[in-house]
Amino acid sequence: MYAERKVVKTGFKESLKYKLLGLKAFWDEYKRFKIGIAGLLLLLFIIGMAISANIIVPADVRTSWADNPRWVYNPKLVPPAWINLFSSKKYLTPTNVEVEDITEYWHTCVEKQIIQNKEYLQKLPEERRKLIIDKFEEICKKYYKDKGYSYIFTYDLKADIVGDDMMIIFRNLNHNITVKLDIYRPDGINITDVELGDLSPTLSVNATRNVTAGGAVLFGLTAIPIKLQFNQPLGEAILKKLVKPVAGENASLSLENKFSIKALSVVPFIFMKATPAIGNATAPTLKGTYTFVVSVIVKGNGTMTEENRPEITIRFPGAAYGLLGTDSRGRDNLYTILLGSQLALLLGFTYSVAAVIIGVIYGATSGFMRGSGRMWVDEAMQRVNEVLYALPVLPFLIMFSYYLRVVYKVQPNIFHIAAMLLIFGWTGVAIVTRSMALSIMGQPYIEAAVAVGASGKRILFRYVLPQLVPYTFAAMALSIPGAILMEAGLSFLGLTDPNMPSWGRMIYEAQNALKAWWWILPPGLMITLTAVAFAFIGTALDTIVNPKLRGR
Amino acid sequence: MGYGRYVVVRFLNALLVLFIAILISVSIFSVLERVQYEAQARNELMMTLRGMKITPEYRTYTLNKTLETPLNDTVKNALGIKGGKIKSITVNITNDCSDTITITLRKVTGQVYKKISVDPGKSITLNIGSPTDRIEITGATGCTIGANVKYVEDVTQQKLNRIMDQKWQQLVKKYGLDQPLYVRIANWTIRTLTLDFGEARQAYPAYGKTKNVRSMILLAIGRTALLFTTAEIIAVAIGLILGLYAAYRRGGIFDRSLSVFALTTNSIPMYWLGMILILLFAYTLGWFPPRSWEAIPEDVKASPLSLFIWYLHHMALPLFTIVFVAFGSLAWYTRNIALSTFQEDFIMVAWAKGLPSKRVLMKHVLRAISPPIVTMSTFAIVFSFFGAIISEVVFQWPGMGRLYYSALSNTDTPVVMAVTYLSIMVAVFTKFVLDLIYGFLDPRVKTA
Repeated sequence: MYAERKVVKTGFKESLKYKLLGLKAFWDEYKRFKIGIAGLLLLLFIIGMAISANIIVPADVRTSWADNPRWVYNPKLVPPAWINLFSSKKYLTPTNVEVEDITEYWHTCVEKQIIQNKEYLQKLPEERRKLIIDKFEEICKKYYKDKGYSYIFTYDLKADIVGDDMMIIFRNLNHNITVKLDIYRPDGINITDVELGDLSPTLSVNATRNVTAGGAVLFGLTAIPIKLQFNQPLGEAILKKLVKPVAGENASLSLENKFSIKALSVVPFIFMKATPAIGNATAPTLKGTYTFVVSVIVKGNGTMTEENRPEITIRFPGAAYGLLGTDSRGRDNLYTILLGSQLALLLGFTYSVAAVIIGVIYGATSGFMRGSGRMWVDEAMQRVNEVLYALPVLPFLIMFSYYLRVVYKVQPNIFHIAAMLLIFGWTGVAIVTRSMALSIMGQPYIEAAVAVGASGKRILFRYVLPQLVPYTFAAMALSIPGAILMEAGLSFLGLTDPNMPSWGRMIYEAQNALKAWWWILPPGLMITLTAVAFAFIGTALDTIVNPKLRGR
Repeated sequence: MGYGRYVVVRFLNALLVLFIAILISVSIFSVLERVQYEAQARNELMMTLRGMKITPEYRTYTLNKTLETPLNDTVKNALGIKGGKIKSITVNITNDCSDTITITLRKVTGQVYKKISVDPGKSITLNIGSPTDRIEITGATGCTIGANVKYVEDVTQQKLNRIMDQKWQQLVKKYGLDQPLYVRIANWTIRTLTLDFGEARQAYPAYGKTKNVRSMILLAIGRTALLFTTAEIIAVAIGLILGLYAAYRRGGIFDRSLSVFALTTNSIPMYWLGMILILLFAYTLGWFPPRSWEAIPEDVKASPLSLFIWYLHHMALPLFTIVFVAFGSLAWYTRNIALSTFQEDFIMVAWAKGLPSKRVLMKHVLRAISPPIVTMSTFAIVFSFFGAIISEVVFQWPGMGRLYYSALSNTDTPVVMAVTYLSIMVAVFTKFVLDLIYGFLDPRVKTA
């Protein structure tokens, strides 16, 4: 008993040694193919991407990519940030402006009263003026003492393109408030007393819960953004103060229409030079230091003190973002590309391993059956193969996807797609393996094994299948590009799960915004690169396995 | 086995495979057809519902029930009523109850909201808050209490289901879905095999006013041929020249880069390349129109030359895309065939005889490699008739691919079956011809 075990053990060690030697020889052979090395490097790069996705992409994006609430804070459909290196016009990248000073709102109230009545006050004698200002103070204190605060922000604008949105983000909001905005521009045209709207702290819990959940990472759990992109009061104020005086009534009216149907963002107008060109939204950007005063006033009862006042940040999502820009829903394209590499590799490996295993076993069995005299089994197996080969693949996949969606209410995910591809995918491998197995079955050592009395199972598994193993690796590598291209095609037709960040889906979603090159170029390049990597590796392996293919 | 017998066997085999493949497709489509129509009926219903305002419909029922004492259960269970909203119970205490009984109504939380004592022979009406409230009857045991239950049921859903059923029955009748599955499969198989596709179930404006499947497919094949077959012919021509050149200068830089090029272009998604070219040349530079298929203006139709230029201008982007993706692998394939021929003895002899290289190439090599190359080109061109579903969608080219796709998404079984039949037919026929060629070239195949 003991001796027997020892023999087995040495045998295992020996065989491992030979296997390692074989591997070394194989690698020496493989190294000679530049194409194979190139493919391997490409594959390493893509695997590196897939691994780094788990580090770079935040966990909440990995679990919910399509509708992640953090996209609310991103600019929509903007080019990558490095465009500034090549463009003469500078694009604003996402910028947060922190508060510079906070005063009680009644101070602001007094100042505004003084500014409003400047001309009248100047005519009065000193003493009387002081009396009136005291009166202002008294009134403002009466209404606004402990009722609100003014937050002062300054921002030195240096970019040429500001982007379509600007948001005021509130944190730790405890009151029902009215929000007012004053904008002091560098050219002295000021847009003041704009009532942006009302805000309530319950909004963050109920109405915009999805906004806060993802904002957790960026601005904390209680953050509520006010987006100024289509803010109607702000639009009206801009038209009145900025557009009408320089561009006239008609231009102002046409802009008002565009604002009201949300065809045009009001934010760029805040930063436009007051020239007649502002009427058709083409005036250049006015650079310089802008001051924004955001006032919050408590509605109804309740007092606001230094302890319970909200924190406010102004955010410019900007007009350029990150390494690969964003898509039309503000999603970071870099994240999508990285997550897509995981999906592509997962699909490629799952599908190819399964397809090749099924194909090799099927083909080997088929060839073995014919070789050992059971012709009708082989014939039947070949007919099955031929029928599957004759069916058009893509239309059937389209039908299956419909079926999944309609009957099971399932959006086809990566494993469904792999399974669907598998139905047709193994036939090619089976055809090749069958003819290989057939020629192996004709070898004298098989005859010898049969003469010694080896069982059919033994011949198939010990003599035929091991010979086919080298071929299987080549076949696996060669079958991956097709799977990746097919998934991309299905996603491109919109037949897969919309929550699946695959490259094909990226192309599908980008087709309606063709001008966004940063959105449509990367996924196609990645598909090509991945397919090429496997095609290179597969060709190199195939040439080693089938020396006949080698050109001199 | 003689070659004639081999041909017959292969032919019968091809017929068998064709039949099985059609049977399988017919079965799958017949099953899916029903499912899809059901979904379609539901969708249509949703659309109509969105249009009309459905007022909720209620119906009031009165039921007579008996209750056993003592009782402590939810109202719902005690009365055995499943759906609907129970409004009130009128309780009649019969005279065989010996004692005064007490009825208590409790909320789920346990809070008592009604407690009442009733003498035998009297009746009382209780308003019920919710069917999940608990009712307790204590005081007398073993006497029956009659309960007159008034409850209201929301029958809006039933109404909707009724409308849905009607819609579904209409479809069932229209498309003969009421027959059992095997009958439908048999019908469709016979219709497919006899090429009796009849009328499409739906109009396809891009393919003319007719609904006749055959004429629609003829139109679509013509358009696809115009684009894809032209492209394939160009690709084959370029591939042939480059492949021969690479084989002639084997081992050179061109030869070595050809394989890399072929593998790379083969990996590019055709539709993506098309989109990039549209982005670059149609939108950014404005050289070509973004839509490849448009109504031809009258003044262009006037002269054949301007028509030709018009087509060339419109088809340039898709043509380039298809040729670019296809010619690399064709060249690579040609190169491999040619290379194996260069190693043949008779070519060696020709070189050894000192024949000029031009003569060797033209007379010996080209003649030897033409059969496989002709086969390859023929198949490439035959398959090009089916176009490419996705690329035709991108180029908005109303050919076979788009017809197939629209028919699939509309469950237009006659059209789907017709196109599927054609493509199965071509695949089987290809296999058959390949078998014949290999059997002719290599006698061992016949006996294997």
